[in-house]
Amino acid sequence: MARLSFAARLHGGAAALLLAVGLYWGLLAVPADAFQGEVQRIMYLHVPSVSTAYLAILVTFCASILYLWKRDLRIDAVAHSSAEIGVVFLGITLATGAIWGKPTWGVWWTWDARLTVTAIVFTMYVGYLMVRAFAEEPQAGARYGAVLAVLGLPAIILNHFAVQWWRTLHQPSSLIRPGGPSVAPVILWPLVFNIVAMLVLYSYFLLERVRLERIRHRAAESRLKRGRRG
Amino acid sequence: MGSWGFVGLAYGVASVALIGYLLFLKGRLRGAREEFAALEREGGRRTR
Amino acid sequence: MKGRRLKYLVAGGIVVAALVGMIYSGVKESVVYFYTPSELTQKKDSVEGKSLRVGGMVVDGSLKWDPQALLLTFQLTDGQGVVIVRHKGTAPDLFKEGAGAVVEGTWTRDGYFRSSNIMAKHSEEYKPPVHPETLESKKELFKSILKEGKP
Repeated sequence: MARLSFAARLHGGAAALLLAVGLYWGLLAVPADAFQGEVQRIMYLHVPSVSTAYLAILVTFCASILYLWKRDLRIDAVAHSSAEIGVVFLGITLATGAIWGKPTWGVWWTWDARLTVTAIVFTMYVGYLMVRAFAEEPQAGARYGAVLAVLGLPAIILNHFAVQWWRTLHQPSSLIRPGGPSVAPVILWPLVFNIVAMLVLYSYFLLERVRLERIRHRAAESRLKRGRRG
Repeated sequence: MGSWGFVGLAYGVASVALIGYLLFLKGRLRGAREEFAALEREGGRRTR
Repeated sequence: MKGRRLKYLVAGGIVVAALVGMIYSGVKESVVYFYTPSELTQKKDSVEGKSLRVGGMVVDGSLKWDPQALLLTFQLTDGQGVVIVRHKGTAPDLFKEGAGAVVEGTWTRDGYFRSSNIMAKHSEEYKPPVHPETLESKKELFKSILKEGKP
């Protein structure tokens, strides 16, 4: 029954393998930051999660624009799927950020600009999923969702610059900044590796989630055909 | 909780979230495939 | 259908309320997340008794801990102004002299800031210790603790 193609299995296996190597590299094979100590290792999880969430939001944004133009439900399936995975990674970002914040800053949470915008973006995409679940007619749900998803790009740009435009407890960006990353190579390499591993996992999730949408679509068509005949 | 305790907590929470999502996705895929197969079987019977 | 509709309306209402709340408090609070010591010294009369945050660097040599009273005293600076801070209780591990900190509390009439919460602020730089602890050195340490080969 659960007929998995060889390519999909290979894809999932590759994601698992990459994450396992990244886990070993980040947790054991590399020294922790001199100032923060061992808790800095949460970075190898927090930063890849937020990078993946940003990409997921960007994919939803692009697919939504394309949907509004082409009105093709297959494109909308990509937008909807990516948004759902984005919520998962945003949730992980918030959770690991809080767990990292407690031993370093001394608090699980504070309402500075970076954290506030991240919480707003997370709530926005939870809202997106609710709009999609609420809509009874697929085209209407896709349209409402797409209009919401257009806010995704300004939201992540705002979040990126939040730490520069306002005073925050969260430190400024370490990777994408003028003058290059402020991370020593021994810490930077496993970090980049873990980002890549998380993106491979995202692409696996996305393909499987789009596959689910396709099967549901075919089932709906089959039901429609049956209804017409009967 | 020591330094490694927080690291363990973070990796634990993330693992539960990712594996949980994977299982949720697989479960829905199985359900959708079964529903589709049942519909096709029924449809085939009717046309006969 | 009716029940489903109601469920989504309630859930949707909660999400919208959460969004509005966060945007409102976000604009109010995170635009000026903390004041600098020089800003605070300029306007101390107008903010007296109000709860606010001050952020800066902990002045070297200013940190004093009174174990009897559980009182932590230190100075915060932004290079121009200096604010004296008193805090009941302990501080986060990364709170130290020469490092960044944001404190929550109120400015008092007696010329110091009464802190109820200390948050350590760290930089965006990450680097290993000067003598990085490699897996090899961890094994060596382990061996030396176990005193392998010795009775």
